[in-house]
Amino acid sequence: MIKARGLSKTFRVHKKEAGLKGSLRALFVRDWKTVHALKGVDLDVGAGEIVGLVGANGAGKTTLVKALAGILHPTGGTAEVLGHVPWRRHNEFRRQIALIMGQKAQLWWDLPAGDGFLLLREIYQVPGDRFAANLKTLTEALQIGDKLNIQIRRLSLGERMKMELIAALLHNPKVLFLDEPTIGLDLAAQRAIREFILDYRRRENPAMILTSHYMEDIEKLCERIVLIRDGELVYDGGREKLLASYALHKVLTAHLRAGEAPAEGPARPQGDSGVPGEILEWNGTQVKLKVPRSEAAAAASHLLQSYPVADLSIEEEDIGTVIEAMMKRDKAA
Amino acid sequence: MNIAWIFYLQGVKAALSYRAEFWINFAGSVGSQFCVAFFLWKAVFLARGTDTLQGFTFAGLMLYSLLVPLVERSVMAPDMMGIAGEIYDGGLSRYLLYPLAYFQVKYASSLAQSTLYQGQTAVILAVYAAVFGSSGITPVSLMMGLTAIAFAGWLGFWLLANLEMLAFWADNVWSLAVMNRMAGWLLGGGMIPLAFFPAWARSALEWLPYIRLLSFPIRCLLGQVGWSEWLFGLVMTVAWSLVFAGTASLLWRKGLRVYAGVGI
Repeated sequence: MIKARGLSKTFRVHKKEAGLKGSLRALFVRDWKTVHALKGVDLDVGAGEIVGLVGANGAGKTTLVKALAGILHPTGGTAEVLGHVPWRRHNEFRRQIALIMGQKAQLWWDLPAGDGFLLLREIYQVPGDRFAANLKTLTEALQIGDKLNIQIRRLSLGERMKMELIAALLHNPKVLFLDEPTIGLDLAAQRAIREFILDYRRRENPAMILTSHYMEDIEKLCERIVLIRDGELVYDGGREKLLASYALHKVLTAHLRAGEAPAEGPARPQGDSGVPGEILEWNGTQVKLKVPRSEAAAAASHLLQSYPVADLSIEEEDIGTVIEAMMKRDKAA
Repeated sequence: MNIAWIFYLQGVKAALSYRAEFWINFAGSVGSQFCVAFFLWKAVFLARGTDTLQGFTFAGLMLYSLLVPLVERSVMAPDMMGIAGEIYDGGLSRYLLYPLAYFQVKYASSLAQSTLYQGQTAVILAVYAAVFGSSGITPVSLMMGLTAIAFAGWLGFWLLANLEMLAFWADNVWSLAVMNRMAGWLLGGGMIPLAFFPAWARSALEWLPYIRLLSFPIRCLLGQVGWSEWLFGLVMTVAWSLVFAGTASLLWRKGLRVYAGVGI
């Protein structure tokens, strides 16, 4: 459904020194800087896939999403979304996609959401009965039906985001771009939106690209992760493969039997007599260790032999930590 | 329902949702400009000690001065900086995503405000006629004038759209928009009727677009324009509109290639 080959985008931005001197100079001389936001990106996304696009600020995530949604005209390369070249913006293409930008309201600020939805019904030419059914389903799922008559600008951030989601899905898009859809939301709202996105996938089987700085979004929603750094894709594969290939450590958590736990925690610093790996937490009843993957079994055995362990779990490292370490390593390389 | 009609209705709703601003803007712009004209022309007539100036009586000039802000609000940038603002703050992106024609939507929104202003114009003229007499305004001249205003609104939209789309490349086009307004004000007969200009200047202005924005519709309303001149004026208005629509289309295509979709 989404196919990009060698997609690149270059921006020319002007620079200005800070202060009055810089402002005066900029009146007469302007310095320009060329920013390569995308450098030959290849990407394929199929129906029913949710691809997590991850990268640091300014890595090129939003630029890629905007190019695939047809907002930006790329400098080079090709792309096809649902068989259309996005930046030609054929109406048939635009009727089948949606883009949600967490940092940018798209609904009409001065209108109540209900009026905005009616406008979208006309824009997308959604039949009346389907519109009514979709609106009912969406407002009930997001529990926002009582806010439809309030101006968008008077809603809270979470409420506004829910309205944006509804607006984006009223026409049942086959391709959905979600650019930080949970930014600034509280935990309950984040969870509601994540569940909602998964439910939408079950019902409609769309292709989705999600960017987010919240690793929980990526963990809960995406089986496939694409890492982007300085405009280049540095990883494209499954979440499990990412962890298996790049996670250097595992996290062991041992809950100790009450009343039998030693007064002192595992020995620090580590040594032959101490616990292998790094102690992340020790509170008298629980010990959490970060150990090299190859030593996870030995560390578990050591804990079981040395401590009154009631329960022991071995987990992968937090995906955000893995991605962060991977980005740093690639950058250094 | 037609998309343009939907956006037209939305524009009306948006304009009416700011009731205080709607009336303050109306009273402020029309009232202040009329007051300035009143004292200025009063002083001129007193100083010259005459009953007419270039064919205008004091009452005629007052009616002209009343019509200038009323017509100006309808035809010159009811939504000034709307397009440029959307380019700056990235609001344009939503229109690129939706399956609709951007200029059709923007013109419909602009027309919504213009219609409200025309409604105000009609009310004020009715009050004026009731108090001071019709002063040459007849049903026919009213029809000719309102038609000219509608055409002028289309021209004003495309003229300003060209300047606003320079926002794709320039950091700020506010000054250009203001200069356009000032040019319309001066060359379109907003500051003083063009009858006060030398003959050679009037001949030259006849071929420029600004005269079609203010002077021509006002003269139509005042019953000073015959059928042939009216038709010629409308043809010129359409011709200039097509020229500006063509250049706007070119700027749009070029501009979108550099549009970054960033903003607040």
